[in-house]
Parts: sequence; structure tokens; C-alpha cells
Amino acid sequence: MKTLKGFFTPNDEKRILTAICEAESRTSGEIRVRIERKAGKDTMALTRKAFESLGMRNTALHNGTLFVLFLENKKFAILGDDGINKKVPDGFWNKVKDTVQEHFRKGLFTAGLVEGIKDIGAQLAMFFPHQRQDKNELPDAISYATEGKPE
Amino acid sequence: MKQRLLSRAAILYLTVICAIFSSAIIARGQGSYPEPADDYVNDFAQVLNAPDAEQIRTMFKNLEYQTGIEAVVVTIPSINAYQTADASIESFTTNLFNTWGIGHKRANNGVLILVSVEDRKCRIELGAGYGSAYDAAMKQVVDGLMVPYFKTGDYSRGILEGARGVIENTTKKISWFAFYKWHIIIGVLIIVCIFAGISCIRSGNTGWGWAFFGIAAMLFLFLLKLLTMGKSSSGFGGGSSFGGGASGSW
Repeated sequence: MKTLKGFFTPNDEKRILTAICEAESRTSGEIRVRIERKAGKDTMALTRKAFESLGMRNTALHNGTLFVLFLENKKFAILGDDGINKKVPDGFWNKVKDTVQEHFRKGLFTAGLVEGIKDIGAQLAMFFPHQRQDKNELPDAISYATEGKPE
Repeated sequence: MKQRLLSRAAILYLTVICAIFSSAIIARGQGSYPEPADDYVNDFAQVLNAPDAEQIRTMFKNLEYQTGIEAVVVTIPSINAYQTADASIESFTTNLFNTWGIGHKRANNGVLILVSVEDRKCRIELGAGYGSAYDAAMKQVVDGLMVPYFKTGDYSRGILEGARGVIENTTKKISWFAFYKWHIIIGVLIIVCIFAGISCIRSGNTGWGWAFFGIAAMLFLFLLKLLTMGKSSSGFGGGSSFGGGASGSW
């Protein structure tokens, strides 16, 4: 079994971080990626928990979006905060999900995330334009679950 | 005049650099290769049933444990789905093999079984360590064990049989000696040094005796390093292939 940290090569990780930086340069919104080993029965609940434990509820405009990959179950989740969820058109999340899923199925994990981040970045830029003194409220780095202890 | 010439040379130089960069980008194509989600089975085309996938995983895990050979199964919907610059299954498989770095870096003993479902093509790619001596055996595995099942649409069974055939044919002759060659040589040298040291001390030549013991200790450290070097707990070992193996279609 691969370790969580080894899931992305350094090069792939750089591509993802570049996509996040690019998206965030046009919006006050925040995007993060989290890698988990196992999904439980309620994937969405786990995603919400990760969202909160990463402090993503703390953005001023509630405009953070989190991607979570559950490697063992081949599942992923996208969770946007209230602020962004209120503004995006109906079916937006499903559309992003489909794009990401189509790539993931083929094993294109990096490309899938990059596309998803682009889509969400574009929506965020529309509703939450970049402010002059915008500060990066959250770190951009990919977050990996700590292994060895059940969560 | 001289300056003008110089700047012209600089422009030419820059143009050449730009051309090299842009051709490098074009040559790599728009798309990228799939990324490994598992060390043994990556069923991107979703044609394997769960028990077969599990069986292959167990078989390959044992193979790696016993012989050091890293074998991987990859299924893809089609080569086109990845929009790489590869026109054939041969070049796609070789490039995927080298991108992932399948096999032990020194022994180059990796094996990649790739099945492209919509293209109706498959390939077994061997690491550079096998030489061309195994190509014929791999062709037999492809034509005799895999393609017949693929023709009936039973991809899962075909891949399972192919995996079995690969294990049988790769473990028969090579590998462990090639893989452990240096370990054995160093081990023998250590024993020789220890005996030489003992006999020197017995004959009163203490200085030489300790020198031999010192060499033995250093060789031992080197052996330890050698043993830990190739063992990656996860992921692939960095092996490469120059395109040996066999392909088939149905």
C-alpha cells in the first residue's frame, strides 16, 4: 500500500499547488486539498470534520472549498462553505464532481484536481473577487491525514 | 559592426532555445500518464472483478517478497484517453513503465502488464534487466493465455492468467541470482577477510590481522547499505525499460 505522502510525486504536488495559487490570485476565496486513507460510512460527515479541523470555517466570507480524497475507498468529496454555496448556480457542485471523477477514473489524479480547482477558482473569482489587501487566510499546502492512529 | 553581429548571434541563439523549449512541450503532448493508485493493480478501465484483482495483488506481493521482482497490472480505457504523444501501445507502455519507474533500479527487473480495452490491445513490458531472451516467452503468455480470454470478453480471467504466466516465466530462470549477485560476492569476501585475519593473528602478524578484520567490518557495513538500498516500503524502485516484451491484439 502506498503511503499517503507518496501518493503525489513532488512534480504533481507542484502542479496542484500552482493551480491553487493561480485560482486564489483572482479571488478572496480559499481552496485546499486533503488526503485521507479510509472513508467511513458517512463520507460527507468525515469531509465536514476535516473541513473544520483544517480551520476552513474561519474564512471571513465563508468562501473556502475543500477537496478530500479517500484513497482506499477510491472516493472523493468536494465541500464548499455557505458563502460560496449560496452563490453558485444549481448543479455546479455536481458538474465539478463529474469533471473530477472523469479524470480520477482514468488515474489522472493530478489533472482531475487541477481541473476541479480551476472550475471552482473561476466561480469564486466571479462572486468573491480578489481584494487589494487580500491575505491568504489558509496555507495552500496539501494536507495529509496522520497515519497510525484511528480518526 | 562587431556588436551587431553579436546581437544577431544572440537572437539566433534565443530563437534556438525557444524552439527547443516549444518542441519539448509539443513532444510531451497535451495529456499525461495515469498515476499509480496501487502498487500492484491499477484497474482504470474497471474490467477486473474484485476476487481476481485481490488474487493478482497477493501473487505480486509474494513475487516481490520472494524475488524482488516488481510486477504491475494496469488497465486503461484507451490510449487516446490520455492524449499523450504516443501513437502505439508499445511506446505508451514503455513511457508509462519509465514514468512510474517500475522495478528495482539496479536489477531493472520490473514487469508491466498493460491492457487497453477499447484499442483491443495489450502489452507485457519488461525491465531492461531481462534482455531480449524473455520476449518470446512473453509473446506466448500474451497469445496463449491472455488474448483467448479477451476475445470472449473475459478481461478479468485473461489478466489473471497473464499475471500467472508472467510469474511463471520470470521466476523460472533469472532473477534471484542477478538480484543478489553483489550480496553474495561481498558475503564471500567478508568470510575470506575474517579467515585471513584469524590466520594472520595466529601466525603472530597482529597488524595485518586487525587490518583484515577492519576490511571485513567495512564490507559488512556496505552489505547492510546494499540490503536497505533497494527496499522501498512503498511505491516503485525507479527501474527502467528500453522496450523489451511482447504485444498482442484481439
